[in-house]
Amino acid sequence: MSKNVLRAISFFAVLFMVLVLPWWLSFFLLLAIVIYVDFYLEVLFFGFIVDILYGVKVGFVYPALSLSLSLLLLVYFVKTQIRT
Amino acid sequence: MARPVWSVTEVAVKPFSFIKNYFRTQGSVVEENLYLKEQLSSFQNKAIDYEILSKENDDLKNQLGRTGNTTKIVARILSKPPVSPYDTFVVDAGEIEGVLPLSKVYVSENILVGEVKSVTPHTSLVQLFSTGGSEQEVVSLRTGSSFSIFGLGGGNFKIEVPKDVDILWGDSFVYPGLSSGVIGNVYYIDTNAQSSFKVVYLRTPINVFGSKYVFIEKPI
Repeated sequence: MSKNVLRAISFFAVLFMVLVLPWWLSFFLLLAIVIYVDFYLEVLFFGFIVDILYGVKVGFVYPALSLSLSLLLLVYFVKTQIRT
Repeated sequence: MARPVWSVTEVAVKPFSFIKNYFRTQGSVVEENLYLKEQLSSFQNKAIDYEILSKENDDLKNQLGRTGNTTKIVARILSKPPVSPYDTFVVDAGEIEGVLPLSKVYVSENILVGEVKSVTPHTSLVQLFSTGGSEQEVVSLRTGSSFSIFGLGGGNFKIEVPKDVDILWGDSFVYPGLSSGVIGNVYYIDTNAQSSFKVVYLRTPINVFGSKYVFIEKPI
């Protein structure tokens, strides 16, 4: 199975988990994937989905999306520093 | 998009939720059964009282020309905390079923938990009054005084008031208005000798997250 097909299948699996698992479990799952997979951009989509489905427009509108972006950049930065 | 996933998950998970009951002893089941029978009998008596008082309340409102001009829509909860991180529910009734933004949401006939924030054709997003950082005006059922309560998440609230303010353990706070629903009951009062204020903690009378259905107010 090619890497892209595997990534596509894992996308739907993770999407399902984000929709049915408690948010803190989804958070740790996504954190593990972001650390394991190189530049896992899909995490931004999952953050966006959480904001769209459950977020209310009070105060800051996209906290989960912002957290995902920060996490992605932080992990990317740390990983590149470790490898060089 | 997420609606079919939530519906299928509930159907798939439900049969497994009672598995632990197969491993209980007969003695504990009998004991629980007796306890529940006693409880049931007590609640049946209270239900009769409630019906009489509710009817009397409606009659009085009718005599004063303030009849209720709303009805309630039953909606199934599709997704709730802890799946949702923001103290919000997604329910399976939307614009087509007559739900409007800012409609009030009840978990039982008189327990008010939140309001509708956004509506799609077949689903609605309900925000609980207890959402962290949100503020809500309430009235004490015993004294009639008004307060602002602040959401702490998970059906919990707090009020910070001067020590002399008359609030007692068990006091109920209701939504201001004629058809007022109970928002929370006092379960703890934190007083400190160093401070001239006391912090009063409230929570919703029943576990909001244990409910499968909610009732959404709809104007007639």
